[in-house]
Amino acid sequence: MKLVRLLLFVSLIGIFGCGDDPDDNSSDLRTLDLQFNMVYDGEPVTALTNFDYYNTKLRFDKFKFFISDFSLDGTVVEEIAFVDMSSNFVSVQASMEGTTHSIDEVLAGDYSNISFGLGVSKPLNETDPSMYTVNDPLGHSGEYWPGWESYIFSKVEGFSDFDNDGNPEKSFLYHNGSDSVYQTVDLVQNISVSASGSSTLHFNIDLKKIFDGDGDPFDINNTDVDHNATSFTVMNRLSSNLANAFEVQ
Amino acid sequence: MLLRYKLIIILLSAIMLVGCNKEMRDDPIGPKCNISLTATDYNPTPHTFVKPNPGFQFLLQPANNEATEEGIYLGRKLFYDPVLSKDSTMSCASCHLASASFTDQNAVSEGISGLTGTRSSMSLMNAGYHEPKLFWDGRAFTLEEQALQPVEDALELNHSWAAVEQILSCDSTYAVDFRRAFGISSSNEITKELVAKSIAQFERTLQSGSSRYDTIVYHLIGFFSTREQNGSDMFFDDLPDLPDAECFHCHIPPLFTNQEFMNNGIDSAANLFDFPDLGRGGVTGDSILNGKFIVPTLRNIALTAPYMHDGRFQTLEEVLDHYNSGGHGSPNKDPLIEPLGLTEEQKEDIIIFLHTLTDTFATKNPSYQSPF
Repeated sequence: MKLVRLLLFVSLIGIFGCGDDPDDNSSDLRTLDLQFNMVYDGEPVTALTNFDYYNTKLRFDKFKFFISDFSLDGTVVEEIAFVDMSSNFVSVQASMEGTTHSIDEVLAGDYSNISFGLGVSKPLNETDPSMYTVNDPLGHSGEYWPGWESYIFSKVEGFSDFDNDGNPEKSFLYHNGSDSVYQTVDLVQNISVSASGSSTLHFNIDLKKIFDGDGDPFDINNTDVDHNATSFTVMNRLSSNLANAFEVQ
Repeated sequence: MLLRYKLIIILLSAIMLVGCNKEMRDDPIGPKCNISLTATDYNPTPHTFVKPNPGFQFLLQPANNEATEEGIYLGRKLFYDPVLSKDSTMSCASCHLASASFTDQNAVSEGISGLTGTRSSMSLMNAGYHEPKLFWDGRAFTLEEQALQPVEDALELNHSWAAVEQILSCDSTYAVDFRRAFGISSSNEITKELVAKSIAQFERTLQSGSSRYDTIVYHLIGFFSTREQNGSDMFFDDLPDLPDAECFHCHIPPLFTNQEFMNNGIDSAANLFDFPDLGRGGVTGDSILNGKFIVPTLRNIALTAPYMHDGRFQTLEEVLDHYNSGGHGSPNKDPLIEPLGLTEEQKEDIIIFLHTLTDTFATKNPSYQSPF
């Protein structure tokens, strides 16, 4: 009888011992795709499209940015991502397809708060490309400016047509960087990371809001270039506007 | 009897003439040779890449072609060996001279048939850092992929890979080299892919990071001259008192390129289909990318004239004049190309600064020269 009890006990230990580790969520980890689309007042942005901006017209040619500490309900699921939307300018179709950044190993479940930093977070911004491999998001030397000792958090470039004759007279270029212009984006949105397959979060970025998102139209004509990290007035304003240009769908 | 001797002499002469004819490789390609190589040791030594200087990123190697000393040695031999051209007159090195930072200093390169291409030979210095955007139009992602193309290009080496494989398989020295690099058991296992892999391994070792600029900026030894410093300040827009030459947006250190495709205004185009060379657009089919080319490195720029994808500018002075003018109009000209307002002296200062990017330690590196 003792032997039977002993065998039963050992069997039970064996059965429970072979069970899943209650802390092991690896089977619930899924891919979350972040899809970014550029729009201007709701219209897809392409390189040769003229957009009305008060008394002038704008064309966009380049848009890139870093995001840091992408979090769901306060849990960081991606430390850094570099989003280069250059390929989206080539056609309406490409613009509507957007640029996707995939985050692996996100715990399946329901979430209601999304937050991320626009730019490179302070600890990572103390590093530079020489500390990474060439294919790392932070290894692009073209996105780091040694003069600022900072990554270039965002680049927005294009042309402006002040006399509305269809031929842009001037270009504009706004490059932002350095810790003081880092912005945090908080969005309230119910999302579900599916337990089967991958899920997608759609973001629209309204480029018009970069210039007038604060209700005060930015004077592109008089300040057509800004990449000066010693004067943060323009950088702060445009980066703050950019943070408010994100909408989750 | 005399006639018979004459006939024999004529016959022998004909055989010798044909035998010496470099065009004989037009003959049907024979089977690969099958030299057994198992008696040769296969014990490759992994190559350790050292950054050109502390400012560079870490180089990434493809998992299926990590460099070994034996692979690099083989790649270097093949790079300099005219065996890759149909008439055995040209090698990779014919258009990529170490002394010219691995360009050929011609506006456009000439192949074995005397035919010229439409684009200038690109520098191979720091080539491993320029993946995945190789060639002026970015049509190759890896050095392995790039190395496959010139051999069969009629404007370049105009050979066939089948013939190259056959020739190499019958060369006992190369067969052993391939064994030591890749562990093949028989010479008939020599393929174009292995040739490309070895050349790519060699090309990844070509590094330049020891210029005067590097010594001053990364090793903190010495100072720029007044005119070099002026040039640097305008290049990088470091001083508000001097004009912004806007160079650094596209030519960012340590690679001195932003690795983007851009239209720098060298051609006037009424519409997107008006460019003489479609560049990146010709690869992707996207018209908005027509007339755009990869931004080249400025490292060793003083050694790599003429300039631009078609070598249209003979001197750096002409290049500076172009950018100072704001370039020609076209629908997708880059926003950064605008009149700069530089004086003659300021342009000279920028050129003087550009000369600090010359790295003769690299161009004279014995490991980069011909092994023959």
